[in-house]
Amino acid sequence: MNLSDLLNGCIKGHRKSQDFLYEKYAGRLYFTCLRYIQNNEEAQDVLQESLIKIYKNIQNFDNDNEGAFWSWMNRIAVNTALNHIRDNKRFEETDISELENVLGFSEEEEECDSSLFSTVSSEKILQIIQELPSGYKIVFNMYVFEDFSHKEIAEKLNISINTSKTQLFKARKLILSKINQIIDNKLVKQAI
Amino acid sequence: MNINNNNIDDFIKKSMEGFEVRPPSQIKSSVFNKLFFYNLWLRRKRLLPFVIALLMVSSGAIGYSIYNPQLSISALKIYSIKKNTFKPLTQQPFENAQSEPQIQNDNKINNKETVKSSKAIDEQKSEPTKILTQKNDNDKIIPAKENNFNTQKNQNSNNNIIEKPALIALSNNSIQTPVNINPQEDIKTELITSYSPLPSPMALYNPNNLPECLASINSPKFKTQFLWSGSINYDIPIYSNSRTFEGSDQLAQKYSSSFKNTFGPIGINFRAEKKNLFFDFGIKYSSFQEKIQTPFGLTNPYDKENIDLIGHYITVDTSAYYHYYWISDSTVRIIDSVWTVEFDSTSHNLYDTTYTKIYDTVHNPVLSVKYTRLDFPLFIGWNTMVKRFQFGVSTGPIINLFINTNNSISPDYIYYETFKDLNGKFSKFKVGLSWQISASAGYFITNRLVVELSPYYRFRVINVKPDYSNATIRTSEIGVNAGIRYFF
Repeated sequence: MNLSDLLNGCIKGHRKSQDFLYEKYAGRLYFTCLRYIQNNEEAQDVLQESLIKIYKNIQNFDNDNEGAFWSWMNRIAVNTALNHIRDNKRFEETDISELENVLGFSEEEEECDSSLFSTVSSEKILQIIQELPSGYKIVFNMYVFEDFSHKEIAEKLNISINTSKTQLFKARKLILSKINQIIDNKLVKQAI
Repeated sequence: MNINNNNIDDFIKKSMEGFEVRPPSQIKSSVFNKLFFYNLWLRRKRLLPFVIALLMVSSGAIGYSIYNPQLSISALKIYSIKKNTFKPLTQQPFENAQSEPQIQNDNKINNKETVKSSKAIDEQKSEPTKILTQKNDNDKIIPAKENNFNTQKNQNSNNNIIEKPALIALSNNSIQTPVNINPQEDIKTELITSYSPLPSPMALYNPNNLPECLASINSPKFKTQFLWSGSINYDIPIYSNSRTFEGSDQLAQKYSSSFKNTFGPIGINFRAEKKNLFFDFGIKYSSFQEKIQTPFGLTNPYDKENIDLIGHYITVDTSAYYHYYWISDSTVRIIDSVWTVEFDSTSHNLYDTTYTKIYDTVHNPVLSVKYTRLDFPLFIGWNTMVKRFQFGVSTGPIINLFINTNNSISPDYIYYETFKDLNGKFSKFKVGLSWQISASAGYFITNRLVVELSPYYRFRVINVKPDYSNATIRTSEIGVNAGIRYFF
C-alpha cells in the first residue's frame, strides 16, 4: 500500500488502512514518546493519544511525501508528549550548578572514541536519554531529533534561548559521560 | 575519530536511525476501540441508506401494528365465550357493539350489581348482552377482555365467578349471544378469530361502496387502517446516460460505452396505503453489462506496472495516481497528469498533452463488464381512483448494492495480461444511492388485481466508483416500470 492509498483509506475510515498505518509507524512513534517520557505506561498513554490525533486529523495532511508525513506524525507525538509533561508539571529547568555537584562535572571536555561508541546499543542510548533530567532531555530531543532551533525551543518551552543552549550543552556532556562509563565498564569486564 | 560535544548529536542520531520500539498489543486494540464511533461517522454516507431502510421498515412495522385490521375488528369483539352456549343473533349487530362500553362502565361503577348469584344469572338468561366478569380475591371486578381468557382451571377453582351472559362476537357480520348459562358447567374460553373479510380496495376508495354493516359502524379505525398490497414488477429502461468521468473531459469525449440490461431489474414490492397516501418498499434484482465499443483499448495501470514493449521491458511508475491511456494503433495516449516511464534506464516524463508513439498494435479489444446489483426501493406516494383506474405519483430513494462484478475481454487480444479491467477496482458489496421520481397508472382488472405502468426518472445520488479512481458511474435513467399488483 502506498502513501496515497494509505491516506485515502484513513480519511475514509477504512480499518485496513488504519491497521497498515499503525503497523508501519507505531513503533517509531512509541520510540519518540519514550525519548520524552521515561515511564512506559505514560509513554503508552501519549502514544495512544497521538495515534488518535493522527487518525482524526489525517485529512489535514496535504502532501504525498512520506518524509513529510512522518515529520507531521512525529510532530504530533512530540507535541502530545510535551503537553503531557506540561500537564503533569514535570518540566523544569535543571539547576546546572546543583547538578554539576551531584554528577561531579569537570571543566574538562568529555570525549570518546567513535569505534567504541558504536559498541553501545541503541537501547542503551535510549536509556541514557530517558534518564536525563527532564529539562536536559526535552531540549536535547527537540534539538537533535526534531531539528528545532534554539529559538523555537525557547518559544515552545517558554524559556530563554540561552537556557536552551546551556541545557543542550549540559545534556550532551552528561550523555558523553554516561557513554564513557558504559564503555569503561565494558573494557574492564573484557580485561577481567 | 573522537566524539565530543560538537559532534555527538550526529553520532546519536545516526545510531538511533530506524530504531523503533514495538508498543504492547493492547495499545492497538485500545486505539481502535476509541476510533470505533469516529470510523462510523466517517462511513456515515455508506451507512445512511441502511439507516433510512431501517427507519422505514420500523415505521412500517409500527404502522402495521397500529392499523392492523385484526386489531381494529377485535376492538368490537368480546373474547371469551362458553362453548356451545351462544347462538346467532338476528338483531342489529352494531347496536350491541356500541352498548358494550356502557355495560363495562356499569360493572365498574356498581360492583355489587354485577356480582350476582347464579339464580340471578338464570333470570337474566334472556338478556342479550353483558360482559363476563370475574370477582377476584380482592373483590375487584375484572372485565373479561382484561382477564385474558380465563382458563378452565381458574374458573372452576373460583366460586366467585360471576357469569354474565353476554358477549358480542362478531363472526361473519353476525352477533352471537349466550343462552343456557350455567356457572357450574365446564367453561372454555376461546378467541373468536373469524370476522368479516376486509372490503376490497375499490370499496375503501369509495366509502359508498362499503358493505352496509361496516358503513354503519362509522368507525374511524376502518378509515385509518393501512391497505396492503404486493406486486411483481419489471423495469424497462428507455434511455440511460451510462457513464461520465469526473475531472477528465478528454476522457469523457473519447471513451464511450453502452449499458445493456441482461436480466431485470425485476423485483417484488409491497405497498401500505392509507387514504391516498402510500409507502412502497421491496427488492429488485438486476444484472447488466457494460460494453466498451470504442476502437481503443482502455487500461488502467496503477502504481507500478511492467509492460513489455517490443522486447523492451519498461517500468511505469504512476506515482500512486491512477492513469488511463488508450492503446491505439501506434499510439499510447496518456490522459491525466504525469507518467514517469523508465525506458532502457532512462526516465522520461510523459504529459497528457503529448501523444507519444511507443509501439504498434492494431488490436481493438472489446471489454465487457458485467455487474450484478440488488436495489431496495423505498418510496412514498399519492394516488387516487377514477372509476377502475388508479393514478399516482411517487418518489423516494433506491439503495443500490453491487453484489458482483466480473469482466471478459475479447480472446483475440494477445496482450491480455497488460489489459487491466476497470471492474477489478470495484469492490463487491459496494453501496450506492439513487433517487427516483415516477408517475403511475393502474387498472383494476378485478376487485383486487391491478395492472400498473409507471414511467420513472432515476438518478444517482451517491456514486459507486472504483477505488483509487476518479472514474464514476453516474447514471440517470428514464424508463417504464410494468407490474401487476394484488391487494391482500
